[in-house]
Amino acid sequence: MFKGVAKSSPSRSSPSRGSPAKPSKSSTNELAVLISRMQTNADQVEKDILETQSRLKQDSSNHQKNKAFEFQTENARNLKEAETLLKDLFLDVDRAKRLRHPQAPEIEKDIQQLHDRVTQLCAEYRALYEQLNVPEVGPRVDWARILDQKMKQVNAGQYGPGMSELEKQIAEHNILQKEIEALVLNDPDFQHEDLNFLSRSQRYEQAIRKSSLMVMKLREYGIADPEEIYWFKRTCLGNYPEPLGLHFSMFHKTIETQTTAAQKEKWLPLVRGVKIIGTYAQTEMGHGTHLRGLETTATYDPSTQEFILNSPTVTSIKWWPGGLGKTSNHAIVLAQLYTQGQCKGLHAFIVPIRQLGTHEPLPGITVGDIGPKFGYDEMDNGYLKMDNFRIPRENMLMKYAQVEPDGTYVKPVSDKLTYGTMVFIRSLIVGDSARSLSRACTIAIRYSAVRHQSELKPGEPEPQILDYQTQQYKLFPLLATAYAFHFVGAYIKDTYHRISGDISTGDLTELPELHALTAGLKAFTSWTANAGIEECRMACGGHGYSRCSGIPDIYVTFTPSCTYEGENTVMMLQTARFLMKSYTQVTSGQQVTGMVSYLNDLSRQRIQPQHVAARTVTVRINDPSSLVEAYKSRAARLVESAAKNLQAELNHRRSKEDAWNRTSVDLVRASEAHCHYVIVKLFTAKLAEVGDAAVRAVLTELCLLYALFGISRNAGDFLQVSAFSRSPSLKAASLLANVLQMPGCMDVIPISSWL
Amino acid sequence: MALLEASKSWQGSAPGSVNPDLASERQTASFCVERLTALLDGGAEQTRIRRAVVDAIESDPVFSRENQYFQTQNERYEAAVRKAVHLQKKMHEMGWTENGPEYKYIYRALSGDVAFLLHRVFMRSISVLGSDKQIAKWIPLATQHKLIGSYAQTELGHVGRSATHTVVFAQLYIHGKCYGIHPFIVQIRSLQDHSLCPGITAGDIGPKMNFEHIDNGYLLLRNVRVPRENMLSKFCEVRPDGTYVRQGSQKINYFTMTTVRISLISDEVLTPLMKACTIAIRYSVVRRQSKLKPGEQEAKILDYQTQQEKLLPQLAAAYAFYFTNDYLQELFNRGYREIQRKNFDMLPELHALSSGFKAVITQHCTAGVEICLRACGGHGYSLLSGLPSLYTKILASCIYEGENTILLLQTARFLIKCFMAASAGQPVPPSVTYLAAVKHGKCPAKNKLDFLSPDIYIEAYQHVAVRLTSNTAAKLQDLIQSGVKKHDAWNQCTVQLVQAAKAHCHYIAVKNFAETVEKLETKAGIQKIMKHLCDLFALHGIFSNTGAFLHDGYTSAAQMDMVTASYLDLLAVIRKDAVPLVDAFDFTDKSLNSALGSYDGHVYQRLYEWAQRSPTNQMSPAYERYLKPLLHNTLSKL
Repeated sequence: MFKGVAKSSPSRSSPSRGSPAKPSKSSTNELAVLISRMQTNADQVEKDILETQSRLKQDSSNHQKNKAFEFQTENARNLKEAETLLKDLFLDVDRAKRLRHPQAPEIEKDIQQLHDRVTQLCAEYRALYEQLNVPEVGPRVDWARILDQKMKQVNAGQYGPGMSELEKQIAEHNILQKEIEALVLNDPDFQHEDLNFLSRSQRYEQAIRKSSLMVMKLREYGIADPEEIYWFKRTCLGNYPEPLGLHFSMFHKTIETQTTAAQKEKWLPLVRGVKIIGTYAQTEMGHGTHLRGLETTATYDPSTQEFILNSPTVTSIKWWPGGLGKTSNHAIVLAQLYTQGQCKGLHAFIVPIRQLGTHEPLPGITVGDIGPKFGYDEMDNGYLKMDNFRIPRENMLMKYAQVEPDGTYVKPVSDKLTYGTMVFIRSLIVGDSARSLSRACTIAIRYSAVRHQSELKPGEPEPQILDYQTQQYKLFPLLATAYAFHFVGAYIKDTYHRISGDISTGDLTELPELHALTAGLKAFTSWTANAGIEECRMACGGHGYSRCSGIPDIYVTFTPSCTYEGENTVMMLQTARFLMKSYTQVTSGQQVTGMVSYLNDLSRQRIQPQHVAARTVTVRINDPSSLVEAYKSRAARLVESAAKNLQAELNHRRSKEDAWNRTSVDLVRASEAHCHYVIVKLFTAKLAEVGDAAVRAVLTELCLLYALFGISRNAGDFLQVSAFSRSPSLKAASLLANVLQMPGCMDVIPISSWL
Repeated sequence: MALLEASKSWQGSAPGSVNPDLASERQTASFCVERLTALLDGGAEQTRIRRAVVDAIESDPVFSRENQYFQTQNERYEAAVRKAVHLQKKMHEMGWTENGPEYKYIYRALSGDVAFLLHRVFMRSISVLGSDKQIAKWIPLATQHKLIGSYAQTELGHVGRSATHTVVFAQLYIHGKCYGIHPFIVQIRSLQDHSLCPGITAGDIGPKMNFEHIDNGYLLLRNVRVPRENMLSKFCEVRPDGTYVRQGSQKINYFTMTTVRISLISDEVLTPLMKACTIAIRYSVVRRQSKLKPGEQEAKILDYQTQQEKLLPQLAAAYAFYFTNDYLQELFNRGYREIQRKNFDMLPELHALSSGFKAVITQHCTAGVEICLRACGGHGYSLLSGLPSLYTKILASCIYEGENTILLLQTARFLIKCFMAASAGQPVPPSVTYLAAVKHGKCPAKNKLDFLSPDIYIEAYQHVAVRLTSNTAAKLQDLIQSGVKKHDAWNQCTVQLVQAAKAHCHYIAVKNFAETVEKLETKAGIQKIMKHLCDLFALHGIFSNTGAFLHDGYTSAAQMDMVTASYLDLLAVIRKDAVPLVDAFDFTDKSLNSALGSYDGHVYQRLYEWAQRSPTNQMSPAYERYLKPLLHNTLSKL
């Protein structure tokens, strides 16, 4: 509601009152539309503000009474909406000014006031919710620091004209991806050149150029939130890896989260200001997933108060860390700590590796590039060998464990917190799976609409290959998969943010499930996306093989995610461990909660002695929620069967480890079935949230397609649970064919919005 | 845990110093590796010849592939041309001829990294499609490399930069009437200075996932005139006055296409999978990770069931398809003899088998190589592992010489036709007679050991193949009877038709493997281990495709659990012989060109030393140009 033009109608704001310059008729129409749109938007913002005010009050009183918050989600949504609308309002008022609306300055003042109120509410929102929820591992924007920095810039006269301009800028920071994308896409410095023709060394140089520029732009735009940085980078670098990536993620984060106050004070300015460039050196040539097996040693020497770092064997050479080969001058090195003659396990140390100023390796350091890889040409993955290399005692990251000057070792209180970072990174990979697969689908589907081949009907022109059933069968399920993974990625991120709040306040009850779930979903989605990208490439025939199709690069950039941040099979087995634990709980009479709660049903069946497989579940194959039930039964059966096989091995008096190994193929299948169920469930749940009927209809088709495709691909599992009375795969396949033939199924889907 | 000191002794390459983790695997082989190698080669004499060829080529520095992974597209192309030219000299020097016993081993020894492969296709197409006169004119020129040929149907290998001549397939028009596709020899570049001829536009199509050694090109022709005699005219001729004359049967032409499909299986498809298995399995007994038992050393990753489940089925598939290839070769030799006697009866069957198996084997092997790559953890992604190049190369095979889906549909067309014929009581070719014998029984297996009986699993495979074919045939007929046009009905059945074609090929592969095992010598443990592999191949197919076998209740849920149990047991059995089984493939270290797969298992030293030689370790200008200003905060000058 505008005070200045509160009662204004299009007629009143029309130029009939004799404005200085007579606008043309078309601009009068445009103005009318503009004003009415602004009125609607402003009303909505006003409504959002009022709602939020009252809900914030209620939650604030909830908080005082130690009750749970009720409205955080709604408030976040309202504020986000208000901010988006305000951005439009600012743009519209500029337009109104250009069209010389006489009251534009007043309207602008009104919008400014709305904006101030929203900003105020945002501050209250953060004060109320985020003081509790800010996780160390995934902080939101550090407003105080940005404001400080900006104020300094303002005072020093290097930045913006004044306070209001500054506030506008800050508001913009809150508007996530789209805004960032716009920034980058309009910046000529970030225009992509043709990477396909560059050599490996040239690709590295270009990546360094872009990274360096990007750092400057990050400084310029004041982007500090890890998630925003992530989006910014995605957009700048176009999904290509960058040599400075680990500096911003692991190096920065580790120093932020695992150092003492004194260490923070020393290192953080250097890291944030990129006065030094760091990487994270964990993996060794002979050791990856099994961290305890790392061989690098850090031996404390109390006489000089130094650690002596050594790579005692070839297998202990640090291998793979990104940015290590040529870019970094520091590394966080994970090493086995020895003090007072005892090994204290793995600890992290900040190790300088190259001379500042000359970039030459320091004496005692051997460092270099590990050579050509499958993709990742931009990245200087490196090796590092240390030979009696000494660093001061203070370079050990000492927030948790400590070594005192005399060599006394002080144990950490808890080490569970490091879980958070892993969960966060794995959740990003799930999102990555969705994005990479949707990129490949976009290319393959568009190309299939353009490529003509053979004859469907004799004598007629060659049809688009997308009209062939076999081509649809290749591509459409993948498209549905991309959507499914998109929702899963969003879900994990949300859950992570919710639970990570609890982590920092010490409530870890949900952590095991989240950890187990992200491990499995990371594996499930990256495996599927990996195969899907290849399928898309092959669906493009010979041209898919050309680097210029774009798909080979998507593939080589994505495929290592099956291995990094936790090898997929190992990830699946982590999920399985959680499933087995839950199963044991259920059989011992306890209830389990969360995504595994379906296991509770198993014990109920045991009370009414009837085998799972003997149950008849009626499945309606055109109803997503009914299909969720089928997936649930399949997961339950495979979890139970793995658990029983495991028990049988144990009954053969095999050791626990041996029994586990001999059941691991079953266990992986159980995990896969569990993840598959979770994905179908989340996709189905999402449908109810979609307001737009047309979008909901097409998403429902995709959800069905995703679920049915999974059933036809794993028909055996579903047949074994008798979830279908008769010939399910045939039925599924024929329905699949019907879904595929839905007219216009493809036209509605805004694939391009994902790019 | 190899000490750095040990790596120095490795540099001196003391012979026989094998990583103990790998050496121990070889001491427990249940069979004689050398005899298995001879079996695969087709006799000890063949093994001897092959080794001599490999040795001659690998000891020649011009053919070295050591720097291959460091090379740019241009460098690889140049190296490939250099090798191709040098090969002529080498063959002359060694007394190898195109008809000699050594010839077929040359390509394998070069690992395919040589230019002018399409020059041979060019020559072959002239020999097959040309008249005697044309053959007499062009073949000597091509043999002596007076010209460099290509073959321009779709993939224009060598048109990019090398070729002077190409066989172009074009629609023939005479007096305004179109006579369809015909082959023409077209000169595209000057023989003097290699410049493009008038009216020709040609160039390189740019970067690909692999095949940098081949200059795949594009070609545009504008009013390019060739003499009438340049139309290859074995089957059709255009007379000087424009009269179009057909002569002889074109069927032989199809036979050539079919032969090409089969000939690529061995070198382009099986070899990469066998190499990938060798690399991944050897690495998996050197790599140790986590502990299987507390207090013990970290376990070899091949001791993990999940790792076995990734790699051993690929190994079994490599053997299975190796024998399938033998079967196809034999069938084709017989077909060729028949065709020479003007009997074309076998052609449809040969065409169906070559199409189907080309698709099934390339798809299976491509997936297999990727599994091997991913089973090697991070190091698999290093080009120095050798696996990425094997993968990017083999995956092209799913597309060239016929896109796989299209080929499977051709096989399906044959199956449907034969099924109809068989149902009507008419005779059908031997490979599909089983379609007539539809049985409606149930799988008779009573315990998990029953599934180690070839009769049981062959019958299960047969049942699935018959069911998929007959169901799809019924659906097709229903659709047509309900008024759907034939081509629409066909399109609506294609997903299921593809499944039927795959099931048919899978059935034949399993059956042929079992029959091959039957005929093997029982001595030296070879038959026994091959039987295990055959069982694994068959049960893996059921295990990973349970739906097809459970679908109509032929196999019960309980029987499926028996399959799983037997299958997992087999993994543990074959695990013990995994290294000897890949050793028997007999790849030299130079041909593997892999830091992970070498015979001596000194994985980490090799990787470390090789990486240090990477050109990326030369000083990069990026530091002075970008990083230094960034660190000193003066980047705005950029």
